Amino acid sequence: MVIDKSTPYGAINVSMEAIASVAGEAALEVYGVVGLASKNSLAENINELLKKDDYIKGVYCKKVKNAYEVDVYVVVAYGVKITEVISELQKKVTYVLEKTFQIPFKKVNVFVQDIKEIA
Amino acid sequence: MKSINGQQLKQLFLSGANNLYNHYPEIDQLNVFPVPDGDTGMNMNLTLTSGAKEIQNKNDESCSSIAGAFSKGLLMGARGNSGVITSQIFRGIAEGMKDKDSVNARELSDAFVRGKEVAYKAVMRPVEGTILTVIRESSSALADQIKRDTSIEEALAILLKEAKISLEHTPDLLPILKQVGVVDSGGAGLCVVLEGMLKAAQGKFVERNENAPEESVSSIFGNTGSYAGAKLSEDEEGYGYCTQFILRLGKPEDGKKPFIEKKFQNFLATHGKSLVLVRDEDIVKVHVHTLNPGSMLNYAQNYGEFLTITIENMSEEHNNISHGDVATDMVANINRGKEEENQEPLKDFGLVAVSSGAGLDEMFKELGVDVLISGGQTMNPSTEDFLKAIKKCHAKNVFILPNNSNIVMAASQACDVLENSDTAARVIPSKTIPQGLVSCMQFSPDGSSQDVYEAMKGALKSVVSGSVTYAIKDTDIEGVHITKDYYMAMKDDKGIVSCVKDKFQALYDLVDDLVGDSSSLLTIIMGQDIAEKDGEKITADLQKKYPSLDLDVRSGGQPVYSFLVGLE
Repeated sequence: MVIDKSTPYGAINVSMEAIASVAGEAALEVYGVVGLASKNSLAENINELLKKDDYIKGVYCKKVKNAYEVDVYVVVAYGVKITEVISELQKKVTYVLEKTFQIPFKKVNVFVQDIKEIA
Repeated sequence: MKSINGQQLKQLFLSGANNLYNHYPEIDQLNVFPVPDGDTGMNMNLTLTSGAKEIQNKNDESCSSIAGAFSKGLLMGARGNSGVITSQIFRGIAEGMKDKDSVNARELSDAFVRGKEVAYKAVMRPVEGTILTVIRESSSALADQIKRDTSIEEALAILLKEAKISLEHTPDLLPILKQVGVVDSGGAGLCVVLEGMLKAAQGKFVERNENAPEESVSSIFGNTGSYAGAKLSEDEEGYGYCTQFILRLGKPEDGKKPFIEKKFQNFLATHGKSLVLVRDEDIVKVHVHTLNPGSMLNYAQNYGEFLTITIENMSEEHNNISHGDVATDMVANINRGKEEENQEPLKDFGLVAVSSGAGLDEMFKELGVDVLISGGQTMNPSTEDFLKAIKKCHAKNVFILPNNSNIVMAASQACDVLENSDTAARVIPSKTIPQGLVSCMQFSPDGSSQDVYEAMKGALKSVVSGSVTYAIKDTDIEGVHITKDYYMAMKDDKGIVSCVKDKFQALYDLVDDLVGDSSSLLTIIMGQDIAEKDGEKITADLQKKYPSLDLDVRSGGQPVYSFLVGLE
């Protein structure tokens, strides 16, 4: 349970999986992003893109002093300017998350796990 | 032309980049997707300019090397989403022209198709209704229509025509575009580039029009609200030096001070106007208009070393004659400042308010405001304007009424700057004119600064306010359909109440929505477009409808808003 909000009508809890799937969907629409990768892909040597059910392995959400932070692990296409792709990703993910959940996200940390050339 | 060589191709690319430069502010206006930050045109322009630089001095005769260099320049200079996509399109085009010294129309078409393929490869889930759609539809239409004897000009003309058709359809594919009533900004940028290329092929090379975008530059920076500090506005005092520099921050070992962004920003904001400060790790890029570039550079050098510096004299550019006047003005200002300082001891309290329109100015003055700053929704005063006004108050405690949520920030910044000086300035965060007026009424110079502040701030909560203004385009917001030139009734905190053709009807809708059980006094401030005798009619109508309310209808003379409504 990551987001806890209380309203006059009761409490709202949003799960980590929900945030991961929203952030994951948003990240995939960013130009230059080929897919999400598992956080442990380097250690486990699993070299594959995550499927929809597994987005949770590539997106982590945590709460730091009343503000939320998201870590996103991605694979980027070969031959694009990675800095720009990432800054667009951060903008887009923040925008979509804030629009969807109505709470401010302070940071979107992006980890480029791999670069792929797709023929 | 049946075919083109490298040099001709270079002309096409340069002309495309120039055409984009000449039109990028218009493209910024369209920007709503994926994040409405109004910088698509700017980003694409910077990307293309970087590509153009790469080939500017290249004299190769082969298309392959020109296209390759252009694509490399685009890749390196890519900015923003559409910039990255553009760089991929041209990377594909360069691949398509590989090993070719000259290309004919068929080969050009194949290159564009290749551009589309490469552009689509780099994204897992392409969003349709964007620049991607435009390049896909136009390149495949060109491939279908091309014949053996098609010339380069004809090919580009087909491409542009199809791209424009595709662009027109982007709102059908992407709902957000339709909602706001625009076409895709990235796609529009691509069309502008293609148009520039076509013109060059027809022998009408597009030159870079240095003056055109400069005028609209304010709108670009104005939209990106995240730059705190002074925003570029219709700057009356457009003199001084346009100073831009890139600073690489140093380490303490090199004898440099640690960089504190806020402090740095405050210093620059107080010494200049139109401040834009962007920081990326250890690089800081600054753009500022100042009368004294030297002191600014000295200050900045305390924190690191410069990578580039550009200083331009804007007085020379703008107005050769006023040069002398500037100097005398400044001297006059300084002298005036000194005189005021010497004249009398500091008052206990001073009030500064932001307003627009003669009638409103008058009302604030009646309520005891010392200094008025002209500003509002469309023209936000800068931090410096506030500093000047606070000084002019000549008081120990100054309260600022920004009367607009966009201005609160600049006002707070002025207060931060004044910390530790003789004057204690505080912002009463009034977000609307009616709030400001009510807050002023609570002002009484007896008691401690804290008491006065609490009283004035407390008054803000007792008012609900709204306004009536006209719509500038057709759109849908929060389920209300907006029609251009109709009048919208807006609640200041909760969005749009209604949108109707008649401004008086809009006013009545608004009042209807605002009035609650505990309401007692209704204040209506009429804008410059409302005649005095309409006021009498409004009073009569509303009095009949709400007999228990006290009515106060006045002429405020403000622009943009036909009515400002406050209810206590």
